Amino acid sequence: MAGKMKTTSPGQAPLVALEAITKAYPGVVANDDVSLDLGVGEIHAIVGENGAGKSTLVGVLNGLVRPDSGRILLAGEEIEVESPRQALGLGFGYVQQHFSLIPTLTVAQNVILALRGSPEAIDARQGSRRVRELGERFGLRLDPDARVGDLSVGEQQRAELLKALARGTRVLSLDEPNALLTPQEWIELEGVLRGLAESGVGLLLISHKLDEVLRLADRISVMRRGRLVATTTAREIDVERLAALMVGELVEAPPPRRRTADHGRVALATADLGVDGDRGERAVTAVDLSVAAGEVLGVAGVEGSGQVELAEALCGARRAATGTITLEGEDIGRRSVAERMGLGLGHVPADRRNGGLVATLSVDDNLVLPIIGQAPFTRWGVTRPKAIAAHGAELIERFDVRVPDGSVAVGSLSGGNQQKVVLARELSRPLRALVCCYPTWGLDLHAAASIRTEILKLSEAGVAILYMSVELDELLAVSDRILVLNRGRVTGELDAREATSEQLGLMMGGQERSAA
Amino acid sequence: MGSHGFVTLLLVSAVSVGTPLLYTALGELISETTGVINIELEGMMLCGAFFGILGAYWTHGVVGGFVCAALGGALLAALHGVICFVFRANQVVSGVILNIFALGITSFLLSTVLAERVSKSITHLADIKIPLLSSIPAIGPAFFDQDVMVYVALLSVPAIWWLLNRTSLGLAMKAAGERPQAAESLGVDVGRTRWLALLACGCLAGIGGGQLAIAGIGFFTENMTAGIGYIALAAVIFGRWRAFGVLGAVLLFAIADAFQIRAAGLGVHIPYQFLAMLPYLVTLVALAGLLRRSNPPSALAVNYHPND
Amino acid sequence: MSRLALFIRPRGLVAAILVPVGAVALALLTTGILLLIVGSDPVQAYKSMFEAAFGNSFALGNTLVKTVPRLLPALGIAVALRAGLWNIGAEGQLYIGAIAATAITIWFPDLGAAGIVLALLAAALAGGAWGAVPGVLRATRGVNEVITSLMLVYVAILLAGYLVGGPWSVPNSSFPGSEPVSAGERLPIIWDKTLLNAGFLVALVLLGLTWVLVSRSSLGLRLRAVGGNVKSARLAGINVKRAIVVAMAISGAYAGLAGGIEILGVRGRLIDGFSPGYGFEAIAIALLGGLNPIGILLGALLFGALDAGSAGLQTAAPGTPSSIVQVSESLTVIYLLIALGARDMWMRRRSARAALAERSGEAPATGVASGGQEALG
Repeated sequence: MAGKMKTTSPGQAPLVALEAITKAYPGVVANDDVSLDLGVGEIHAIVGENGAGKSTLVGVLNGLVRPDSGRILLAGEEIEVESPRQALGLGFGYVQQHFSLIPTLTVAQNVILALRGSPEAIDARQGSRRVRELGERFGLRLDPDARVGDLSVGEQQRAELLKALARGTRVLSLDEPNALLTPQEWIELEGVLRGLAESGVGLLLISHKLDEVLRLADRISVMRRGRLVATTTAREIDVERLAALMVGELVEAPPPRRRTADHGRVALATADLGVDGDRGERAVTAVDLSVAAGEVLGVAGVEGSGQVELAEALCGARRAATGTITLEGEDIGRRSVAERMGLGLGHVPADRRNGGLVATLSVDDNLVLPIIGQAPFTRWGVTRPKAIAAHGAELIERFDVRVPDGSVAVGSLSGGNQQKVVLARELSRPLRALVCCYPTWGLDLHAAASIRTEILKLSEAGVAILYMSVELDELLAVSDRILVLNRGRVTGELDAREATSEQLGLMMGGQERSAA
Repeated sequence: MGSHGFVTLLLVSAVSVGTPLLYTALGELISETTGVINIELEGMMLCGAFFGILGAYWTHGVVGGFVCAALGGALLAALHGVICFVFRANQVVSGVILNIFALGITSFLLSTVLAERVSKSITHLADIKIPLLSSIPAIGPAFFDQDVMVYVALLSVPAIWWLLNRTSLGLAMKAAGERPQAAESLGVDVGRTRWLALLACGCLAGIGGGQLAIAGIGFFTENMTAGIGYIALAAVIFGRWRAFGVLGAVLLFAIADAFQIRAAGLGVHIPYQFLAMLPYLVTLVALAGLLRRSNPPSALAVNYHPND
Repeated sequence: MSRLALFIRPRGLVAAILVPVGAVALALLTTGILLLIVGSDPVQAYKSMFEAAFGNSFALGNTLVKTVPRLLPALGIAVALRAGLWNIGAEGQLYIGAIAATAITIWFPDLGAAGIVLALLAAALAGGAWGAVPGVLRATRGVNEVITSLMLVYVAILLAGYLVGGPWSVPNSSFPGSEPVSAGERLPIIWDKTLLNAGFLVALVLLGLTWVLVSRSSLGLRLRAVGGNVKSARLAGINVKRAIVVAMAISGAYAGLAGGIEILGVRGRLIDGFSPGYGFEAIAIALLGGLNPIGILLGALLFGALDAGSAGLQTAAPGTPSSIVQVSESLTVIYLLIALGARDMWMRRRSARAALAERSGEAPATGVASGGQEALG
C-alpha cells in the first residue's frame, strides 16, 4: 500500500515547509523547534500521544495559532499566516476535530462563509446550487440546504471536507479525521483522500491510530512532548516501533485479564432504556443491558454513539425518557444522583475537566464534595477543615495522587493525576457497580495502565463494571462481554474472548448481530 | 391634528416614542447577532442625546446634531470594546459600569459645558408629508407625515433584515455570534466583525438618543433617557433577534407607552406604572419560553480571544 | 485566603491590594484633570469632599450610613457570583425589600422593636423572593439570569412608584411618598450626634456571616462547586437547580434587607426613586473588593465616602457638579477592569515564557472562549 513514494526531488522546494516552529502556552511548550515539510501529492502523517503538540503545529500552518518563532515556506518562499482567513486564501484547507462549522447555518451557508472574499466567492442567493455542484466535483454527496446541526456525524465530516476543499485547496490538513467514524466509514474516506493526493494536493494527517496511518501515509513524523522526534517513510517502520517512538520507550501490550466464566448475580441492569441528548434528540434507544457482580461489560461505539448519554442516565444526571434502571433488583430510575451514589453506584464521567472535577476547587474539596453534608465534615452546616483535609490526605496517599498537598486547585494537576482524583472519590465509597466512560482518554500510556489496573482490581473485588471506550483494543483487553452501540441502539453483543476488531467495527457501523 | 380620532393620536404618539427606541434596538440587534451584549445601551443613548444637542448647537444644524449624536454613542461603544475585547472583561459588568459613567459624564458636562446653552432652541426637523399615503385613515398621519429620521428608522428595518439574511456579511455576523472559534476557522475575522457591529450599535443608539433630544424636546436634561435603553434591550429579546420581530416589539412597547399618555383623555385610569411595566413583563414571559421558543446567539456575551 | 479571591488571585496580597488602590488613585486623578479643564479647583473640591466624608463624627456617620446600602447588596452579589450567577438585579430587590418593610410599618405601626425585626425580615424575604425568580427561571427553563434580573429591576421601581403615588400616597401632599414610619419602628441611632443607625451593625454581622457562608459552610462549598463547573457539580451529586435558586434567593435577601434598612433607618418612608442606583454600584463594589468580604467593605466605604463627600461640594466648592462622584466611581471600576485584564495578559505571557524555559507538560487546546462565563441564553 505504501509503495508509492512522492517525496520532493532534490533541489526542488517542497510544497510547504514549517521551519523551527516554537509555540509556548502558559505552563507548556506545545511546539519546541519543530520542522516538517510536505511534498506535492504527498500524504504526511503526524502521530503522537494526546498533548504531544500535533494540533498546535497544524494550527500554526492554518493561521489558528501564531507561533512564537519559526517560519513557514510555501514553494520555497517565506510566508506569514496570520489568520485562518489568510490561510484559506493561500490554499490551506483544514478539517478540524471539533468546532469548525456553524451548526445553526446550512451546509451551503457554511461553504459561502468559507469562500467569502475569495475569487471563488458564491453569492448568498445562488448558494445551494453552487455548493451541490462543488460536492459532486469532489464526490461528497450532501444536501446543501440541510442545517449542519441536523446532520449525522459522517455527513458533518463530509461537510467539513467540502468546506476545506471549496477554495482550490493545495494543502489539506486533517486532525483525527477518523475519531468520529467507524472503521468502514474511514476506509471510504481513505479513498477520497488518496484521490486528492493523486490530483496533487498535499495532505497533513494527524492521527493516533497507527495501523491506519501506516496504510495511508507516505511519510510519518512522530511528536512527543512538543518535539518532533522522528520523520520516516511508512515503509521503513512498523506499529511497534512507532508506538515506542511516541512514548519514548518500548511498550508492552496490556496483559490480558484473567477472566472467569461465571459471575455473581446481576448488579446493574436496564430494560428498554431511552435517553435524550442535549439537543432533544433521542441519543439512546431501547437499551437492555445487565452486568453481574465482578463482571466487566465493555460498551463500544464511535464518539457520539450514545455512550456518554447512557452513562449519565445510569448515574442519574440525565433523566431516562423510557425504560427502567435497576441496581441489585431495586428500581433506581427516579433516584437523584446523590441517592444513587448512596446506593453504591459509582461513575467516572467522560470528561474529567467538565463532569469529573471542579477545576477551581482544591483536591480536598473535590474529594469530599459528594459527602460534604455528612459527619464528620460538617456540623450545623459549618464545615470542619481538619476533617476535610484528613479525608483528602488519606485518599491522596491511597491512590498515589502526585500533588504537594490537598489544598492546591485540582485544575493544576496533570491529566493522569486528575483522573486518579476522580477514581479516588468514586472508589472511596462502598460500591456495587461502577460506570466508567472513557476512563483513560487523553492519558499517556503509563497513566492509562494504572487507571485500568485500579478499575480491574475493583472487578476482582466483586463490583460490576460498565466500561465504555472508543478504543477497541482497550475494550478487548478488559471486558468479559462487549456491547456495541450504533446511533444509540445496541447492534449486538460479543464475548470478548472471541470478538475481533473487524467484527466490532462492522457492528459500530450499524450491522446487526445477535448475541453470541 | 385636532380633528383626529383617538387611534390616530395614539399611533402618532407611538411613532414618536418608538423611533428612538427602534434605532437603539436595531443597533443592539446588530451587535447581539455577533455575540456582543450592550447593557450600556442606555448610556449610549444618553451620550447620543447630549452630543446631539451639543452638535446641533455647534453646527447650527440638525444634520450636524445627528452626526455628533452617532459619534457620541460610538464613543461609549468604543470604550466597551476596549474594556471587553482588549482587556477581556465581562461584557455585562462593563455595560453596567458604562451606564453609570455615561450618566455621570453627561450630567457633569451638562452643568459645565452645556449649562448656559440649554435654553437655546434647536431647529426642529420639518415633517415630510407623503402624498396619498399620509391621508390613509389612522395610520397615515402616524407613519407618512413624520420627520425624515422616522422614515430612515422604518426603512432601516428591511435594510437590516436584508443585511442579516441575504448577504454573506450577515452570515459572518451570525457565525461570530454563534460559534466564534468555528467562524474564525471559516475565515471570518471575529474580532473585526464584532468591533464593527459594536460601533454600528453605538452609532444607532446614539442616533436614537439624538432623536429623543433633537426631534423630541430640543434640549438635554440629566438622565433624560430614563430607562429607554433597557426597553430597547428588552425589544431585541422580545423580537426574538429578528429585524421585523424587533420592529413589532418596538411598536407594541411604544403603543403601550403612548396609551399611557393618551388614556387619561379617554377617562380611562390605568396607573401609568402598570403600562410602563409591560415591556419588562412581556419580555420576561417571552424569555421564560412561555410564548414561542426563542434562540439567542449561542455565544452572546462570551468574549473570544484567538491565539491563547 | 486562596479561596476568597476569584477575580483577584493573590499572587501575594500586595497585588490584590495594589490593583484596586491604583485604580482608585487613577480615577481620582482623571476626575481632577476633568475638573481643571472645566475651571474648577480639584484640590479644593477633593478637600471639601474629604471634609464632608471624614471631617468630623457627623461626616463619618454619614459616610457609614451611605456605606450600608452598597455593602449589603455587594455581599449578596458576591455570594451569587461564587455560584457563577450574575445578579444584576440587586437594585430591584432593594426596592422590593423597601416596599415590604414599608408595608409592615404601615400595617403594624405600633409594634416597636418587634416591628423593626418583622419589617427587616419581611424586607429580606421579599428581596429573596424577587431574587429567586431569575434563579427559578434559570434552573427550570435555562434562561440566563442577567437579563431577567435586570428586567425585574424596573418592575420593582415602577411598583414602588405606583404604591407611593396611589394606595400609599399621603392625602393632600404633593410629595410622592408613603406615610412616615412611626418613631417606634425607626432603626435607633447608635452614635450620638450622627445619623448612624443600627442598620450598620446588622450589616457588620452579615459581613461575618458571609465569610462563614462562602468559605466555611457545606452550602458554600456546594455553591462554589456549581460556580466552578455545573456539570461536575451535578455529577458529584449536588442538586444544581436547588443551588441556583438558593444562591439567587440569598443574594436577593441581602439587597432586600438593604432596602428595609434604608427605609427604617434613613428615609423614614418609602419615596419614589429613593435609591440612586445602590444596587448597580454594588456590582462594581463586589468586583472592586475581589469578592472578598473585607475588600467589599472597603469598596463600599469608598463609594459611601464619595457619596457623603458630594454633599460637601455644594457648600464648599459651589460650581463643582456632584456628578463627578459618579464619574470617579465608574472610572475606578473601568480602570480596575483594565488593570485586571492587563495583569492577566501579562501573567499568561510570563507563564508561557516560564514554560519555554522549563519545556515540559501537557498541551492545551487552541483558541479559547474565555472569561469563565456562560453565554446568555
